[in-house]
Amino acid sequence: MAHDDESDASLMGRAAGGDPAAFDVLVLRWKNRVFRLALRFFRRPEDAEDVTQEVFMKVYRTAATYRMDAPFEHWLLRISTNACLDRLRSQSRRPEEVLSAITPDAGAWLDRALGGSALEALQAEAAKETAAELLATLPPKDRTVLVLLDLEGLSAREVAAATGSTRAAVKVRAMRARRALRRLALGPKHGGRS
Amino acid sequence: MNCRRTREQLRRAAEARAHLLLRLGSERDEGVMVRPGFEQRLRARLSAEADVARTSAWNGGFERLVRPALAAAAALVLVCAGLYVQVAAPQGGGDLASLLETDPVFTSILTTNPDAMFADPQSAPATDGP
Repeated sequence: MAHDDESDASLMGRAAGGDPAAFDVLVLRWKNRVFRLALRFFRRPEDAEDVTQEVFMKVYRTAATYRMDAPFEHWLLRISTNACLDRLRSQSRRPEEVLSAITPDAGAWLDRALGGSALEALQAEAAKETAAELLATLPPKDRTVLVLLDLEGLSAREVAAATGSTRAAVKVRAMRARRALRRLALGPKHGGRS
Repeated sequence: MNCRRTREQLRRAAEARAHLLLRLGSERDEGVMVRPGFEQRLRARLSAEADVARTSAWNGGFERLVRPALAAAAALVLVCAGLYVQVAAPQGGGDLASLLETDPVFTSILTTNPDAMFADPQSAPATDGP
């Protein structure tokens, strides 16, 4: 019988042994954390939920490979990051295609939002949509590193563990991604958006 | 000095804009949760995946048995066809080449005897009779 106060590692041990109740408790405990991370990359909640399900399916399938000495959260974060990366890669669009699809109005609303001006609800929503589309032009791994570092508040070491990389590589990637992001944010005058 | 300060201010402003772009494009409600029934949908997907795995395992086993059998049958058919061709071929040759060799008109052309072309094949003189 699985208990709500049981440790993740112990629950994983039970789940690997074929205890569905233990797996259910893990899902209940972590589903919203994974879902919120997925929402950073996918604006549609359906997509984010789909990724969340894929993550837990992977957890279920690979439960036997989990090492008890490593924190479950790190292992789950790595699986979640990989699932998000896979989907971002499958949805990747060419930058020219995205940039040419941005209407002058949407570009102007985004500029105002980035300049700190208040917008009406619809305009603010359109600005967020445009911002998400611009972020989609970044290489998936660059975007993932930026989100984990700057928005999720993870350290370079944690991001390296989540992305299967080294700390140095994460720092270099983050620097390159920030430069690309600055170009996108500055707009056409600086050779970013057209 | 002023120039450096201005450059630094511009750099900071650009960084702030970039960070804001990242926030805007990745924004989500902090309290957002998955729709109710997530566990049921996940369980349904897991059992569907298990069904597919079972079916493909069965198909895989079936294929492992059937494929060699099909290969053996195909080889047997080829061997039988070869044997049949060898056994059923007419003695003395029934092919086009042997027909030409036994044809009197063709023979006459070959032996440069054009008169034989117009001769009645029924009344052709017997050759080398005893």
